[in-house]
Amino acid sequence: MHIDKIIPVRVKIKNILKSFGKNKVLKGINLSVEEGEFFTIIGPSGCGKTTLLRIISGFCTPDKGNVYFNEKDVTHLPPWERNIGFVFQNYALWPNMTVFENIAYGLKIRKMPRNYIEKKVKQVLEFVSLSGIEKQKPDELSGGMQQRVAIARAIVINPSLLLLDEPLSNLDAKIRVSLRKQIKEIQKELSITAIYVTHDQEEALEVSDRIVVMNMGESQQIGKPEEVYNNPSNLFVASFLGEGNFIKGSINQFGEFVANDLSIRLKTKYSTSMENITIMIRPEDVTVVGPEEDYHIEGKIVKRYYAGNLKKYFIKTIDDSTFSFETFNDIGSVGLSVKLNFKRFYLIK
Amino acid sequence: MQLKKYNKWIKDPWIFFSFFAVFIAIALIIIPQFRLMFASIKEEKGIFFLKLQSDTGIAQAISEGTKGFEIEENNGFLTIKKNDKQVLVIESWGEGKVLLTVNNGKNINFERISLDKLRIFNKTINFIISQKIFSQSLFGTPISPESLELEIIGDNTILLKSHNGAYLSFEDKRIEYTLNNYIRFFTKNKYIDAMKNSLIVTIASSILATTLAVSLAYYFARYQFAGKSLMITLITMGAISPPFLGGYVWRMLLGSQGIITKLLNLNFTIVNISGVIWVITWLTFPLIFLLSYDSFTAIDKTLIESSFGLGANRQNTLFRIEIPLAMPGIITGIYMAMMTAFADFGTPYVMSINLNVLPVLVYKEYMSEVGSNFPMASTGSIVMIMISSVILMGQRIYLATRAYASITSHDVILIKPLKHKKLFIMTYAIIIISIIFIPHLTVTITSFFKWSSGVIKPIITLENYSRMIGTELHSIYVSFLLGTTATFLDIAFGVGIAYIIVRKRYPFISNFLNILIMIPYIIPGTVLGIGFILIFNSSPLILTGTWVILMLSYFIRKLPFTMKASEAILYQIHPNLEEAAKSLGAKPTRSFFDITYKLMIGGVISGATLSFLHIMTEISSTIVLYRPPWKPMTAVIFENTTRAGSDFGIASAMTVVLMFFLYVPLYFITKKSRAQKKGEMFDAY
Repeated sequence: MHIDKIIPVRVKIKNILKSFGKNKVLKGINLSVEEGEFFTIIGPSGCGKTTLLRIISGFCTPDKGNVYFNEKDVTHLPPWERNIGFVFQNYALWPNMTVFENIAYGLKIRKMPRNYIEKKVKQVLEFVSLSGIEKQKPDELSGGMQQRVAIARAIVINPSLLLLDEPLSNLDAKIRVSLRKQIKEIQKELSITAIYVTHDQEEALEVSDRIVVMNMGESQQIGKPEEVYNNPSNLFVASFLGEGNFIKGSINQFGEFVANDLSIRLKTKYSTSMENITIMIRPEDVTVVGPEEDYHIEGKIVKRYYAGNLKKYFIKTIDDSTFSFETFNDIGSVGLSVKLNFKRFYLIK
Repeated sequence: MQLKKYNKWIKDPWIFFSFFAVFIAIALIIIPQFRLMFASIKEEKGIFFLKLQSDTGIAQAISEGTKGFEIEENNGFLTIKKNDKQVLVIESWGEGKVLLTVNNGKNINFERISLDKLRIFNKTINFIISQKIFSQSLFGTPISPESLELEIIGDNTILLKSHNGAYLSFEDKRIEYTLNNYIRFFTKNKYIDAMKNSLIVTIASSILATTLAVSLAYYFARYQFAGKSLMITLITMGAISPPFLGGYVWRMLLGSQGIITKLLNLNFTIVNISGVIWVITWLTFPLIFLLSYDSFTAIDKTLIESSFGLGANRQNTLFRIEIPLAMPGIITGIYMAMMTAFADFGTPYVMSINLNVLPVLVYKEYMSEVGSNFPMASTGSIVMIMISSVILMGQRIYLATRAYASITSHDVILIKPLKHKKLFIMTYAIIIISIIFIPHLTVTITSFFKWSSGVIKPIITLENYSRMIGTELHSIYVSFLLGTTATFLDIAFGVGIAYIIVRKRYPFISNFLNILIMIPYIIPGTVLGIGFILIFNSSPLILTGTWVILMLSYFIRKLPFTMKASEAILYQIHPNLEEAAKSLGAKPTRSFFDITYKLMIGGVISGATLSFLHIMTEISSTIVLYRPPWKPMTAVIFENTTRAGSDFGIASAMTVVLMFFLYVPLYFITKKSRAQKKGEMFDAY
C-alpha cells in the first residue's frame, strides 16, 4: 500500500459571486483551506454548496471573485488543467469500461507507460481494499464498491486537491458510516487537501478538520466541528447542526432569561437586558436533578415519544404552559413530576 | 486579466463547431427557401406585341404572349397600361410609322442594339423594341428589310419607323417584385385543381389510415395472441417501403391495362385520385399504427383499472380514458402521415402523369419540356411549405395545449381474447398486412417473369436481373455512395448539434439550431431540390449535376432523424460522466470522444440506419437533382416505370434488390432495439 507522495495545495476563495439567471446562488463567499486539511461545506439543498465546489473544480466560472491554489489564480483555469480529483455523488464511473480502464484513464491521459499504469492501478485498488476486481464492469459492483473505485480513480493521478460532492448520499446508512471513516483514513494517509460537500451534519462533524455552514448562498459560520456545534453563531447554524431545543424569550436587567410563554429560571452571564433572544439546549444536555439541586424548569411529564435514540417529552409546567424537548437521556414516565437542569445552553441573538 | 475571462470560450472547440453548424444550416436550409421566395415574387416588367398591317401599315395589338401589360384599343389609338396606369399611347401614322406618346416622358434616350433592335429609356420606362419580318410568299422576291428607325420629336413623343408588315415587340426587362404569381396560383384552374387534389388526397388518406391504424393498434396493445410480434415487425417493415412502389404495382395490377384488370376482363382503372388515396393510405398506415401502438401500451394499467373500478364499461373507458391519453401519440402519427401524403411525389406521378397534385405540379412547372416556368415552380413551392407549416402548427398547438405528464408504465394490460374475438383481430390484421405487402410480393414475383413492351408474359426468367446488372449496376454503387456519405454527415452533425442543444446550451445559438434543424421536416423533397438548384447553379459553388448536390440534399433532409435519436440518448447520459474525464485531465474534445460519444454511438447508429434507409428510398428530391451518371437506384426504378416504352422488368428487378438492401439492415436494428428494451425492463426491476 504505497502511493506516491502528493503535494497538497492551499485553497483560497475570495468574494465569489454566482447567479443563474435571476437566482443568486452564491453571494460573496470567502474562505481558505489549508494544506492537507479536510474541509467540509455543509448546508441544506439549494444553499450553493455544490456550485461552490464546481467553481473550485473549474466546471463552473464565478461571475465575480477569485479562486487561488496556493498563490496561483486559477479562477479561469479549466478543470483539466487543475490537477484535481473529483468524486461525484452518482460515482460517474464509465459503464462501458472495466474497473481497470476506469482507474487507468487519468494515467493514460498523462501518457504514463503501460507497466507503470498496471502497477499503479493495482496499488490504488489495494489502497481502497478492492484488490482483484480490475476486470469487472462498474455495474457488477455494489454502490459502496463503485464509490471506492471512483475514489481510486480520483486519487491515482496524485491530485493536489480532492473534491467530493456528496459522495455517500446514494448509499444506505450502514455503508455510509463505514465508507466515511475510510474516506477520512485515505485523506489522512495521503495528507491531501480535501473539500467535501454534504448535507449530513453527522458526516460533517465526524470527518472534518473544519467546516463551513452555508445557507442561501452565504457562509454562516466557519470553524472546527466542535466549535461550530457548541457555539453556533446563529439560529440557522444551531438548528442545522445537530438536534436542539429552542426557547424564545428575552433577558431582563438582572441577566435572567425570561421565556415568552414558559416559566423558567435561567441565569445568564449577561447583566444587561436584551430582546429577542433564543436559547438552545442540545438534547444530551437535558438532565433530571434531585429535589435539592438547582433546576431550570419544573413540571409534570404528560407525553413521551420514542424516536430511536432520541426521546421527545412534553412537560406541563406549574403555570400550565407546555414545554416540549428532545433528549438522549431517560427522564421518567408519564405522570412523574420532574426538575430539569440544562448542563449547557447557548444564547443566540 | 480581461482576456482570461474568454479563455474558456477560446478553449472550447464546441463553440467553433456550433458556428460551423449554424453556417451549414443557413446555407442549406434558409438560403434556398429565401431564394425560392424571391424567385416567386420576382418578375420582369413584361412584354407586348404589335403587328403592322402590310397594306396600310396600321398597328394592331396581338394579345397572345402579352405579359405584364394591358392593351386597350379605341379610335385607332392603342393605350398600353400597367396595373391600370397608362404607360404609353400608340398612334398609327401608316406605312410602318407609329407615334409613341410616353406618359411622364421627360429626358428620353435611345440606343441602337442592332438594325432591328432599339432601346428607349428614361427614368420611368425602359423598352427594348425589336422588329421581326416574315417573308410573305415562299417564292416572292427576297425582301430587303428597312431597319428600325426612331426619332424623338417632342418632350414625350417619339416617332418609330419600321418595315411595313413587321411584327414589333416591346419588352421591358426590368425586374419588379409582385404577387402576380400568387394571384395566378390562386386563380388559375390548373393550380387550384392541384391544390384541391393535394388536400383531398392528404385528408382522405389520413382519415382512412387513422381509422384503420388506431383500431388495429388498440387491439394489438390490449390483446395477446400468437404471431403478434411478427406482425408488428412486418408493419415496421412496411413503414420504410419505397414510396413509389405502391403506385406502380397497383397500376400494374389494376390499371386499365393491368394484369388483374385484363385477366378478369374488368372495365376498371385504379389510375385516378381514389387510386392515389388508396395507395397512400397503405403507405402511411404503418406510421400511425406504430405511434398509436406505442401510446396505447404506455398507458398505465392502474389508470384503466380505476376507470373500471368507478363503474365505466370497456367502451366508456376506451373513449374517455385510453384514447385521450394516447392522443398525443396518435396526433403525432397523423401529422407524420399527413406530411408524407402531402409531399408524396412518387405515388401520383408513377400512377399517372395526368394526376395533378402539388408536388407533381411543381415538378412539372420546373421540368416542363415547353420551357420551364421557374417562377411558378417557386410559387408552388412556397405554397407547399406554407401548407405543411400549417399542418405542423396544428400538431404543435395540439400537443402544447395538452401537456400530459409522461406516461410510462411497466404494467400493461394484456387480455387473452375470446375465440371469436381472436379470430376477428387476426383476420383484420392479416388482411391489412397483406394489402400492405401486395406491392412487395407482386414486384418480387413479376421480377422473375418476362416482360415485353410493357406486357408481362408467362415465361419465368432471370433475364430481368441480368439486364439490370448489365445496364444499371452503377446505380447500386451510386445509391450506396450517396447513402453512406450522407449518413456519415448526418451522424457527425446530428451528434454534434444534439450535444450543443442538450449540453452546451449556448445562449441563442442552441435554440436557433434546434429550430433550424427541424425545418427540413416541412420542406417537401421536390421543393428542397428546386431550392438547391437555385443556389448551386451559379458561382461560387456550382454543384448541379454532381453527386455532391444529391448527397447534400439527403444529408439535410434526413438529419432530423439522427439528431432526434442523438438528443434522446444524450438525455440518458449523465453530464458527470464527461466531467469525471475532464477532472482527470482530458480536454473537451478528448473527453467527448472517449466518453460521451462512445456511450452514444450505439443508439445513434439505430437512428442513422433509419436515415440511411430513408435515403435509399428517397425519390422526391432525387428526381429534381439527379443527372447521369449519378443516377441512384430509385431514379432507375422511377425512369423504368414512368417513361414511355420503359422496361418494367428492370424496374422490378431493381426494386427487389433495393428491398433487400432495406430489409436486411432494418431486421438487425429492430432486433437490437428489442434487445435494448428487454435490458431496460430488467433495469427497471
